[in-house]
Amino acid sequence: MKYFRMLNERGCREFRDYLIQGADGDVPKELLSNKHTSVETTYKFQIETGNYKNKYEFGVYLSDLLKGIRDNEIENNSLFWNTLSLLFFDKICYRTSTGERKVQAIEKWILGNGYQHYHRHLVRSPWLFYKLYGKTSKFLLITSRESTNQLSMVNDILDQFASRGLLLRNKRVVKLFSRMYFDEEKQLPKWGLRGKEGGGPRRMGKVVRQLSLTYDLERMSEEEVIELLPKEFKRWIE
Amino acid sequence: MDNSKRTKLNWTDRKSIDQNCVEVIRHDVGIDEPAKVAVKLNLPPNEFASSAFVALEAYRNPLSKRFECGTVGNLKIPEFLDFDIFGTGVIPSLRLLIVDNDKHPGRLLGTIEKIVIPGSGNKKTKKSSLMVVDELALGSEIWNVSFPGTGPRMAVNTKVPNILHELEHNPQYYGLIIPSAFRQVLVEIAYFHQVHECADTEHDWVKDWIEFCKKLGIDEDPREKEIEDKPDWIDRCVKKFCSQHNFVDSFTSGAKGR
Repeated sequence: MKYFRMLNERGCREFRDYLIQGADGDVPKELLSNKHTSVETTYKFQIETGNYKNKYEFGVYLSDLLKGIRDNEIENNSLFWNTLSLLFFDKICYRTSTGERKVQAIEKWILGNGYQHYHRHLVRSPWLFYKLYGKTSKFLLITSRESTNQLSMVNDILDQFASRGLLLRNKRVVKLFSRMYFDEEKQLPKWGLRGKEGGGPRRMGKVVRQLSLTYDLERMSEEEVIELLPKEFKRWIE
Repeated sequence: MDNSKRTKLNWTDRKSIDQNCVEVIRHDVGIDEPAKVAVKLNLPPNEFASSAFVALEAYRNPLSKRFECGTVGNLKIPEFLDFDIFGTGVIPSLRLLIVDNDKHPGRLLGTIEKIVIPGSGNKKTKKSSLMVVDELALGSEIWNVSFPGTGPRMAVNTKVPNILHELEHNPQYYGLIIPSAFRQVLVEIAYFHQVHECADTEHDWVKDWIEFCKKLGIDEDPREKEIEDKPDWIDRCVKKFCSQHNFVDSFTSGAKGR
């Protein structure tokens, strides 16, 4: 097994330029064999670009693939994650029926475009959230839309949840979100999350933030936290 | 520019406890080991019910680690708080919670936020906390700095492709923009803030910046200076800042690499 080669700053810039220009043509994997655009690391792992039904499955795979590396060595290493974006690019940037790729929000492939967008990275997020929450991460990583391109989508609830640090680090809240907005039976987000009726995840994020000024939510049981929620959330709680 | 004093309203009945009630001592660890601290608590007497829970919480998004410390009447603080989950050399933020265990279980009775940990660099432990950077629609401006009252905020124009990434990694961006933004903040501090101005103590950004300049080696308070001496303080700080970050070298080597 060879040592993993990682893009350097210049390599990253060239990959980003490729994306900005619409990702036309072949994926520039040659950047990883060029000593001017990449460097050899001390990591050893063998990537298999298999079929993953959704980002949760992808996260399970990545977690296993990278288990030999200390989390804090890679967690915020943009060069590392952008290299994986390049390697998995065919999986995480789908082609439309006309053969074009849809490149809109560059932070989905390039880490480093503002910390508030870190959670949108299509390789790092599946790895990170599965590492943090295990099976509970499904509500963040499985999208409701039936699609063969699930790996290239950012889940709405992930966008609303992960941009708030307070929610991310409270496991009680993470479990509650999962219970409220993920259908365990169907293994899909619950129907109607994006509807106009109250009690959706965005509103829940605001309410939890408010409650945490008055309560130590981590010390309270799930039922005790539910008791504190306004009526609008009751329909999401079974 | 907003120089108005900020008033904080507290509707929660939660008590704010003085930072001096907590003493944090860094424990010597090897270079490859995660940080550890010992904590001494000296809570104000008769302020909280003796049955109230006490906990310390270390956090650095998206991680947090809870250290239970017994109750107010029977403190059992762990000998060391081990920050192992945060990785080698990382100093997380730390807060103290006192939680009701009688009348309203789970309710916060008192907190100390942002407990100062020696060696964490500054009170808030993150370099970025000195200035927030936003990506906004700025029309024809590429960037600007504003002072909304909670500290300086830099805005960069969303129309410029990848400007945040460039600002962080490209010396030809940060070498030109950051020193100038730095200077604007120092002008704001030197000319528009008074020594005895009662800013919100929880987020006294002016003090943080002056502390930052002291660490650059300019150990002076610009607010105490005569008006004709203020430009000199600003110039010296900017020069020190630029030389510490080698902006010229990075800029020229960046230009050659293009």
